[in-house]
Amino acid sequence: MRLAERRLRRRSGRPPGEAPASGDGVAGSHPAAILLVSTQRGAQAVACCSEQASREGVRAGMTLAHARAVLKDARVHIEEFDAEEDALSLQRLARWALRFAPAVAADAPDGLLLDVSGCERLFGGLAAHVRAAAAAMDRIGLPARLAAAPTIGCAWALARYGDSRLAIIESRASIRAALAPLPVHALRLEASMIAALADVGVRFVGELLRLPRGELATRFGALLLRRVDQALGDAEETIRPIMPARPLEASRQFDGPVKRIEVIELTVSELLASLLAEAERRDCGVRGLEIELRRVDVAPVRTSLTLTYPTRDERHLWRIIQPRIERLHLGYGVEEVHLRATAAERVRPMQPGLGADWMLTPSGESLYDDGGGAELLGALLDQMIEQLGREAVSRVEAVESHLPEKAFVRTPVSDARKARAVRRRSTIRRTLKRGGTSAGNAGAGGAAAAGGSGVTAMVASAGPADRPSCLYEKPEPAEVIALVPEGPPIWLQWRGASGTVALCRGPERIAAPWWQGASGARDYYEVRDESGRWLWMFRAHETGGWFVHGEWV
Amino acid sequence: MLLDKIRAIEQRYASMVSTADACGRESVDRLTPTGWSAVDAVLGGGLVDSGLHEWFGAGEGCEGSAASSRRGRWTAPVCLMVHLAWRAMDRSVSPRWAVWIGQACFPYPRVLVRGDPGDMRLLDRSVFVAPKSAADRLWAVDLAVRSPSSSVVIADGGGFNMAATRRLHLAARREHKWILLVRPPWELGVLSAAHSRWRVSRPLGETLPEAMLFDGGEESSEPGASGMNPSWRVALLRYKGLQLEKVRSEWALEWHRGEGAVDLSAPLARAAGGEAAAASIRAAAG
Repeated sequence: MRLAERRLRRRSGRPPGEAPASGDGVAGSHPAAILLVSTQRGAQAVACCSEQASREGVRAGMTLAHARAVLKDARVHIEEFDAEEDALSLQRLARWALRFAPAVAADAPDGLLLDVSGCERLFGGLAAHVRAAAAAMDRIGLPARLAAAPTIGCAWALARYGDSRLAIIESRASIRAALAPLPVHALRLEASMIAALADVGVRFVGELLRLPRGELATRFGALLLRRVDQALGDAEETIRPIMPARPLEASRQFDGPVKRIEVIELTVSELLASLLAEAERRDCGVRGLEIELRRVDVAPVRTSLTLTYPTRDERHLWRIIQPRIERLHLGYGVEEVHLRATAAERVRPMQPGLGADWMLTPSGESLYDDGGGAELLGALLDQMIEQLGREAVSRVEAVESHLPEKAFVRTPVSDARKARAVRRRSTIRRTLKRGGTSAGNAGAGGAAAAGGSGVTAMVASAGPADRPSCLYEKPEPAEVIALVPEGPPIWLQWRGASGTVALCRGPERIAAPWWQGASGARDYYEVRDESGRWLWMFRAHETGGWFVHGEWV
Repeated sequence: MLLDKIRAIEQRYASMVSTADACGRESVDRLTPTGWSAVDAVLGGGLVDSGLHEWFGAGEGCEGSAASSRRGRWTAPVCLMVHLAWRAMDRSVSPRWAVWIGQACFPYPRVLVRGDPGDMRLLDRSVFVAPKSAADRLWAVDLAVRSPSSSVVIADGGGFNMAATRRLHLAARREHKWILLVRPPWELGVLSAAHSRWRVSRPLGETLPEAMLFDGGEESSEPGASGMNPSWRVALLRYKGLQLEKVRSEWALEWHRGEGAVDLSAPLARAAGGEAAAASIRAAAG
């Protein structure tokens, strides 16, 4: 939760001590209770919550409505739970923690394991080492519970279930005594095993350790004994540390300043080949590349490129790089050429089902059945991005929103992320399967009032396909006359032209969900004007004004 | 005497055209049905795969008014392009991509989802490119059509001249793909090398008469025949190898809400003589 909380604070630009507030998550002087919610089977449930909410009685798994009732007087900030983002944050934190230990592993969902063997001397002893780490965590706004022990299991137990915030066990002989008062949960057991132990009255580790080992294995299985042994140091346990990536780079120094562009190009070409060969050895492809020319007497000149997919295709890369080199100013001559892969991703041999992130369907399958298709499209888009700019080449992702202007998001192809796209699109797919109507899209169901001037009464039956082919970026105001207040329009003035409405269909009521901050509801009508044009208009409930939002063209 | 010679030349030309229709073109150029039966009948089975096809959108003013021919606001026939993109997508054996170039032809993404529950293949396989100038658009279309990963290229062709369209047409022929260019109505007079040119306009302004809404006194059960849906009039202005004066070349099309596709408006098509045109073509070919 703290990682998510910190992320929210960073996003809202607040200092670590002050949480975002209710509604927009920005205003307010009192810290707000934070709830991270996830939607399961159509219901919103609390995935995790801040300490303040927890103190008030909110628990994970509670429905959102229940949690809000519990926090009736407190300021509440509600955000969608993003497990993927939390995992990424934990990975980033693990990299940050490499300053305290050479081997660090992420212990999902909210822990880190550091192998500090032999490092304590650098910090003036184990206690000083732990205190330094705790102080650093405080400084970055993540006050943590730390424990140092000879075994992973013991440190894990003390950090999560110990009495003090900092716990240090220096010798294996002290482990048994340290673990004895802790609940059996501290041994990283499954819930069913904990329940089984509770059935026989074993609630603390000390009680468990007094039982005969043979009977424990017979009754509760080998896992229990393994956990006990790991905690006591009788069984081996290792961590899988994150591996700081070695930079993928290549460079060459000249004997003297070089001013001939042909030589620079040849050098870059050779360096590129060697860099790609190294990439192949590491089973990765280049997705970002920086070329730096270190010049005599003047600052180095750099050019960098970002690709839409990881590649080791030298010809494709050279097609993009060469024009860039020609544009670089060589100054008084270049002494050294340096190539560095700023982003590299794992690529496996091209097989069906592989491709860049954005080439995946909602089910996670590749949009290409043939192996080389992803590269072919990637090559096309890279050239387009190089010529037209990153923002000019985009894809569309469906987002769970009933507001038409927010239902789809245009994302530059180089920014698309697999998991996010998959989740969003599967969400919208569910929405579409439900018929596109839910809390935010309450079809008013009323018939457009039959009026004079050829207005035809029709029953509104807004289905998912009832959206215009062109949606204006901003709704355009229109003047409208209706026979009855809040009724369908019979006369329309828009873009300098006016006339009677020939046909009208609606209304369909669309409103933002209440939990995203209430904005006015809109009653949408499909309107055909005298010129035969079909417009998508709405009446804003807040102001009563009419707007044209789209058109079927 | 001279008149007889002219008629003889015309007959010879007509027989050459029909022969090309019957044999040569079908053997050389693949045809992809548009899904509009009357249109396909006139075209001999569908639109030629390898070629540039231009679609002129509607202007801001009423049809036929001076406003529609003046430079100003115009709307690209987006629904029709979506329909044709689906045809191209359904036709291609291996899954490929639809490339939309130029913001004028970008659809609201919801219309890329077909049917209910939604078939999202076109949305999943669409890439949108927004160049800032006509020169960049031309470059992007050329690049996209040459890429083996694309199945159809839909682009804003505003500002393209004869040389540009010739370049694109040749590229499309070589790659056996559709390039669908949408163009503003005031460029109708601009010379072009396109294989076909179409004008899309809004239907008549008045409320549709009952004769057009109902067929023989009974309400039609065909989709899109109610007259209560967005509709367009589509006129074929040019189709290489086809003498337009001898066939019916204007149709009415309607947006089919349920399917998210464009259908031929059956009553309107019959009223416009689509069946008769198809019969005449079949007779000429046979």
